[in-house]
Amino acid sequence: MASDSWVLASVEARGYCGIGAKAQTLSLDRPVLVLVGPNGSGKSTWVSAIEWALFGELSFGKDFSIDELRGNRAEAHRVYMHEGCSETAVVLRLRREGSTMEWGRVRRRQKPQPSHDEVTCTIDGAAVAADPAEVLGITPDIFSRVVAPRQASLQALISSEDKDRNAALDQLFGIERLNTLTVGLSRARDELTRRVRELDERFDAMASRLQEEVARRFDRRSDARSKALDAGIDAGELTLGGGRSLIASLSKALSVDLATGLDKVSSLRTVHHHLESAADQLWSRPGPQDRLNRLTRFKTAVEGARERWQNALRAHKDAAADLDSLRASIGSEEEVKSAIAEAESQLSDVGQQLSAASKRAAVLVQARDWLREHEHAPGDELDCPVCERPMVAQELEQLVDAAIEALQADDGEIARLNTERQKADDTLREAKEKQRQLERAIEDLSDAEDEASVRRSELVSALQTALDMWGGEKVDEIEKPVMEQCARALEAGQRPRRQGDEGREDDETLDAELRETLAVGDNMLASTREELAKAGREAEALRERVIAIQRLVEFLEAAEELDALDGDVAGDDLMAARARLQAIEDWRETLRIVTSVAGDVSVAMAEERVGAVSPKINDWFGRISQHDRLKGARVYVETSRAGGIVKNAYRVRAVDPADPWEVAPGPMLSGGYQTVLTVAALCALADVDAGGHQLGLLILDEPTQSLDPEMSQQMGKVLGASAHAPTTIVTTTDKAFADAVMQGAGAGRTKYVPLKRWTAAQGTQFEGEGE
Amino acid sequence: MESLLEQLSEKLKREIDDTERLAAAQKVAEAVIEALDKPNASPDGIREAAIAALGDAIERAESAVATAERRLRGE
Repeated sequence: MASDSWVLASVEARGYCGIGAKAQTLSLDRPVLVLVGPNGSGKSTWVSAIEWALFGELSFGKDFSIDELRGNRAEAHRVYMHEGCSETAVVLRLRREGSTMEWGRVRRRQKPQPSHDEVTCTIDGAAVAADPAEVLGITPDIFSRVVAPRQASLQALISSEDKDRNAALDQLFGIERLNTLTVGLSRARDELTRRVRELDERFDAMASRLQEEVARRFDRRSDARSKALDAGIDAGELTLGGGRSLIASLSKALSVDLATGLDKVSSLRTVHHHLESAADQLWSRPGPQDRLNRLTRFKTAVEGARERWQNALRAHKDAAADLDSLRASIGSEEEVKSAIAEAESQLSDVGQQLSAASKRAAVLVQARDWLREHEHAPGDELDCPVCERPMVAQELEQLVDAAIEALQADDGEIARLNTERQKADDTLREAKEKQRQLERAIEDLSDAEDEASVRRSELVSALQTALDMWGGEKVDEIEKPVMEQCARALEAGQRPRRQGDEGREDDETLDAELRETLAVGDNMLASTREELAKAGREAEALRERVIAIQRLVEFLEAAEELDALDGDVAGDDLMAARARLQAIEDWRETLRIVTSVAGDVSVAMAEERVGAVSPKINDWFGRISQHDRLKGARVYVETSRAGGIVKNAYRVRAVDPADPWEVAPGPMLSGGYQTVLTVAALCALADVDAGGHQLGLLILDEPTQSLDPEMSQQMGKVLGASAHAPTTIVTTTDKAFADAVMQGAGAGRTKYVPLKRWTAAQGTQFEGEGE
Repeated sequence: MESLLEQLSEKLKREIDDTERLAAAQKVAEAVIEALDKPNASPDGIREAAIAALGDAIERAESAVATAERRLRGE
């Protein structure tokens, strides 16, 4: 505690918590003030009024549970205001070496937020900034730790729970801020770790994908390289320059203008497309394909027509030969006709003879029948029915019979005439057959002649069609000879064909022209085919070069794609991300160091504080203790680190100075001695550390819990006698303890302030007040 | 009695050789002590102050990673 501390002279309050609207003043004109009163009489209210006046709210003490968190928390701030009062006011008056300070705070119900409080500070009547840190060097933290250790801290200190005691001692030693600091830093580091881990995972996944992508693109480039080499590209040509050179060569071969500006692979690709189209066009119709088509059509049409015409001529010739042969064999048409006439005449003669013989035979048969039917005396004569001469009947009858026999016998005249007639009939039939043969042969010859004529016309038409074809298309100069020969053949074909041998001469003339035409056509067809094959081979070679360039471009594209991945994504974005992550990693490391350093400071501070406090605790405990052996106390600290956070484990022990025996708060140490240990610690802290503030005040609120009367009185005496602060306020419900304090401090140094039991009507009242 | 910030700074100077890192650590220390000196200082307040001292480093890293991811996806 600084020697130039301000000493609290009085506290004037109205409308504050249990203090009513009427202003009351707690005068502190002696070093030790003992507030005595029953529970709820307002002792803690008075000591809390000092903190409220300074800071506008209490960091601990009364549990002002706040449910209403909406808006400006007006109700939360009105809890300090006495019910029914429109405003609350506390005025602290302090003095120091002839100077006086008046510190006041007024809060109005209408605007109960601390920021609306009317806070004033004057020193020797001059207004100064109402900043407790500025004028008194005190903060809420220091106040709650050093000036007015809270009741909860006392409870925690005497408990056997290490965690609570450690926290309480951290608070009392001022380490709590550092705990807050290191925990906050550690949380920041954890958050950074988490976020870095997330980003790292994303980055790793990305790097993995990139690796796969690189491998894929590398394989693709290798594959493209193999294909390019297989396509005939030299390894040395697998460059952009190589591509330019190959494109220039192919452009020349395809008679395509050479493109310029081939400084990128994409340009090569574009130009390659053009060259590929040109090559495909050449490939689909290489060389004199049209000429070949025309010549083929001409040859097919004319050759076919000629063959059909020649067949017809041969058929005509055969028919003529057949007719001649027939004539030579069976005679001419006239001869056959004459034979027919002769046969017919002969047949007629024989027929007439046969008729006459038959008639005679019939008469003779009638005569014989008559002679036989009539009886004749021998010697009777009768006229011969034939010669009409008189003949004897018998003789006549014999003659008739003989005549009939001569006619009708198998070798008779009638039989002979029948035979002759049959022969004549056969002769006639044969002659007529010959006549029919001749007629058929003549007809066949005529038909063959007609067929030859038709085929000749068709041939002429085919020649004309061929000429028309050449006339209708762009004729290749090379085709002119065959076209002109065709024209000559047509001219020969169009001349009127003469008859007979002259006609055959005409046919031979035409055929000669045709043969010549077809020969010229065949020669040209052969040369055209050869030319076409050569062009095809050249087109094939060009096409292979196009494919080779395509393979080269594909390789260059694959290489470019791989380079892009390496140089672009990996080189730029990925590395940028890596750099950013590294920057955060650096920050994380920096935070780790700051956290560690804060922990070191915390440890050093704790050890320093403990080192300073421990003798004081020993002193205070020794003076208060009534124990037979436990006459001393000590405190030490053990630190541990976990996740960058320093944990201070304080060990507060009552000890036997003559023996290494020490007792920790707990079953082995009674509740009373735990209280003694705690109060000793608080007093020791107040002795060694005022936190640099200039408020000469120590408040011990109800320090006698669990103490027996004897121990309570002893503590009172010691506190009264040993109070170091310019002003010490002790509150208690124990009048004997209060008396002991007075006894220890001396009546001249002690002010005894009894409080009445609190009533709603009067509020907090001092004894003797209002009477 | 030297302030907490002074104590931290002194120890940081002893711990860190690298000038740039020391400056960053001092920046963090100042930020967190400022947060610690505020009423009702809490670990989360310290955490926020320390993270804020980084500036937009995290956002820039996230942005860089996202950019690289988009690029890798071919967007």
